[in-house]
Amino acid sequence: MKLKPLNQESYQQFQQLKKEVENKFEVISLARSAKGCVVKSKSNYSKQEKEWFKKFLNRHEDGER
Amino acid sequence: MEKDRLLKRFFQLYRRFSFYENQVSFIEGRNYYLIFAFYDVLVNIKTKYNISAGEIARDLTDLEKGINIFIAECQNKYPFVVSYNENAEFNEKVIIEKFNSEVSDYFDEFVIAYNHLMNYKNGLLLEELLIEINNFLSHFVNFVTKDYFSSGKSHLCRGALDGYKEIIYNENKVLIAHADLIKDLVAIRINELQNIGNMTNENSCIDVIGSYKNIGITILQLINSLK
Repeated sequence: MKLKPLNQESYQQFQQLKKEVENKFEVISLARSAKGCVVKSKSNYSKQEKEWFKKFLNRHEDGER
Repeated sequence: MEKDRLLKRFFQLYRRFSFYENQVSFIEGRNYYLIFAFYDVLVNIKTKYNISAGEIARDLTDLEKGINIFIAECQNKYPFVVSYNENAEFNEKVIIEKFNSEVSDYFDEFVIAYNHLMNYKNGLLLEELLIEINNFLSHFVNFVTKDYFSSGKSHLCRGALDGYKEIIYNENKVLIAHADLIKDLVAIRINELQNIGNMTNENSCIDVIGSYKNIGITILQLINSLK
């Protein structure tokens, strides 16, 4: 049983963009959030959570795992 | 981890995370780090399921570490938090069949839209789109375990549309300067209006996304040509 693969170009672009913006962790609210029905972003990430997330984003870099 | 357990593991992890995140989100806010991490791993699974099971298994282990940190902190901070003890049955073959037949094309469109908006906004955590992927996952978990009616694909559709509409709203000065583009957009808008509620029609959602995508990409190209 095979899972239909994602288009390679989309995948490469996603990986590339992640590298370019990986230090921009602030949550970006779009225009639609103005209606106020979305619960706000968690703002009090602990040091451990922040460290984990940074490491997670770099998990495919050599030697990071 | 054997290949035929990867998606099963992914959805087990999501179920566990979601159980805790929903209990605390009104106090803590939404955990976009972990929602993004689920999205990121799902993109990897969708791309590499057939070719690199080892990499996906390591992704899942890394993801689980983040979930464990989050859950431990929830339990330490909030005495009201109820512990997760579900044992949902996931069947890898059923997940793949349903993902392929019901949501695969929508997920692909969502990824493309997310990429465009991530590039445009120069940021990683796009709140509304991550909420939509989170909603999709919540639906899809029940869809594959309880045979509930909705696969959640409308959330992928909504997210992709929001991505392009955000670019269009923000760059409406470009629209005003290009009468042909406005004319196309009005036609798309009317078509969308007439098809509201008809998103179960297999092609209508993908068609509407495609139309907004064309306008969004044209606007981005016009902006870039002026730089």
